[in-house]
Amino acid sequence: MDKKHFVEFIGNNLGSDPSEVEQVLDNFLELTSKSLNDEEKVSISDFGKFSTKKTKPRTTFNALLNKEIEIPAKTKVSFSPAKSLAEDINKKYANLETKVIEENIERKIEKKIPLLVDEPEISEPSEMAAKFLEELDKKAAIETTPPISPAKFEFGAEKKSDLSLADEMFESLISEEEKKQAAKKAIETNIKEETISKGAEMPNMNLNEGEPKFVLGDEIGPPPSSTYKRSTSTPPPSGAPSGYVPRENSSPFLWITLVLILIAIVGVGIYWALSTDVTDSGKSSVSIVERGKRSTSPPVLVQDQKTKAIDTARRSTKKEIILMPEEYQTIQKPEESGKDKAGILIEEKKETTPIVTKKDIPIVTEVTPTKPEVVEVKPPATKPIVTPRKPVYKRTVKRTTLKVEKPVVTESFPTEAYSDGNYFIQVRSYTNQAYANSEARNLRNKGYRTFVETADITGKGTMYRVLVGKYKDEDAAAKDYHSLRVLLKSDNIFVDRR
Amino acid sequence: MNKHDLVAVISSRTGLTQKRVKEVLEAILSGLIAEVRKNKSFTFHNFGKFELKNRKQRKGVNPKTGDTILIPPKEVLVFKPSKNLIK
Repeated sequence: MDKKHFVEFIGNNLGSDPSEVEQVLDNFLELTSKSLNDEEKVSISDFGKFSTKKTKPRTTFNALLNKEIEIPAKTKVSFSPAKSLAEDINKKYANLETKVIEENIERKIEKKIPLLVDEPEISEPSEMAAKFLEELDKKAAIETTPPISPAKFEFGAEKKSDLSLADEMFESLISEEEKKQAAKKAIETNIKEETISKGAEMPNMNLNEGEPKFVLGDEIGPPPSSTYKRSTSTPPPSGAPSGYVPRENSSPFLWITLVLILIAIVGVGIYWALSTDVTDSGKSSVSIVERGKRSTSPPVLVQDQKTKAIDTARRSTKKEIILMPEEYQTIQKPEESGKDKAGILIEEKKETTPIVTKKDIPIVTEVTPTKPEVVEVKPPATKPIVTPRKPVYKRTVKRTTLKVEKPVVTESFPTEAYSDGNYFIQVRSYTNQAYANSEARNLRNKGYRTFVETADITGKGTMYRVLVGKYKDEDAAAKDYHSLRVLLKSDNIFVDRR
Repeated sequence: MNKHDLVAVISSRTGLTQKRVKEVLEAILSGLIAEVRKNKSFTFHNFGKFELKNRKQRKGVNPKTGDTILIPPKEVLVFKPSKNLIK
């Protein structure tokens, strides 16, 4: 349909002369084109807005001619339909709405991760350790109650719980229910294994003797050592006192024998306690590694299997406590890899070392009450916790130092255009210093001498201004001013005097 | 320049009443839109071409949340000025 038909069509619709319509239409088109030529907007309500836009001259590369072509500046006419018209046109699509196909999971995770890294890892292990200790103490107490001397058996039980904790702490990364079950099973199975493995481990112990550290412990030490060294050939635990009795039977008084019987009972009790320690040492990987190291030391004493077992038990308990802070990490790592889920979880978080150290601490600290040596060892154990956090602070420090460095670098930037005047071109100002620095860096790479100035503005806080300069006067700054306006496509650039 | 100004100028030029000019002008514009809807395009010689263009549905990203979204299809009224509109 051309203009003639269009005019007729509308004239018929209105019931008026088509020439009238044509007059109006011609004038309308003429007026709009005229006002657009004068760079004036023409906005017609419920229809749309005609406006002009100026484009800047630009150079492009013409591949056909194989040279750069300069496209001159020109004005473009743009039409934007009125909102009511646009909605009217899109009536058939009105029922459609934008749908979210995929939620961005990465950002959510990124936001959550720092929280997980900082807070729960510190809080969890201690809580978990406390829970496990409580549970294990209860179990140990139940198991150890039947014997005669409860005080000494408690000592053994505590050790047991500590050692078994080392294994169970890594399992603790799995869900809580699984942990509890695993803990129960571990204790049960360990006890069984220990009883079985006693005999098998004995031959290895032969090499482990003759070290000064194995001097008998504070509480338990003296009485059993005296008894057992004398009774080297006594096979069963009850036989230890029996070896005693015949030698000292020479005393005539009956009630001394009664005292001896009491000692014998106590001796049996101690032996029982120590035997439980042996089982603990047998299962834990720490003691195994130690044995391997100790095997280099020459064998000096040869004793009965039981006496050896007692000595090794003491050694193992002592060694474990000594080794924990220094070598525990290295020893425990293979265990981690062995335990799939826990190990992988830690590796994914990329904080294997801090986690290990954090979890080691509760174990070490809870052993302390029995032995004074551990107190000395504590500091090296605590250090690794501090070190992983330090780099975080270092990063922030680096940022601050960068700010300081930049002006220093800019001052050494040699150009003829600049002088030591008071005139600057303010390119932009940011509330974020990092943005200001990057802007300054970009401009410096393009050949401008830039500064970043901080200014406290009431109501806005500190602003970071990106400045180019210095210039002698406004005329000197004018050239760079215009080039910057074109470069950055910004009208907010201005020359300022300081 | 807005519609009121246009009507005033046109009435002064043609000698028609402003009311009548407004009537006719609105009839022209509504007729233009109707014509564009019918034939997808309409051209005023030496002025420009009004065209109705389809925009297909497409995937986009919400810059605020980073979610990928499906933007529904729509139609846009496009004006392509004649070469002689601006000299």
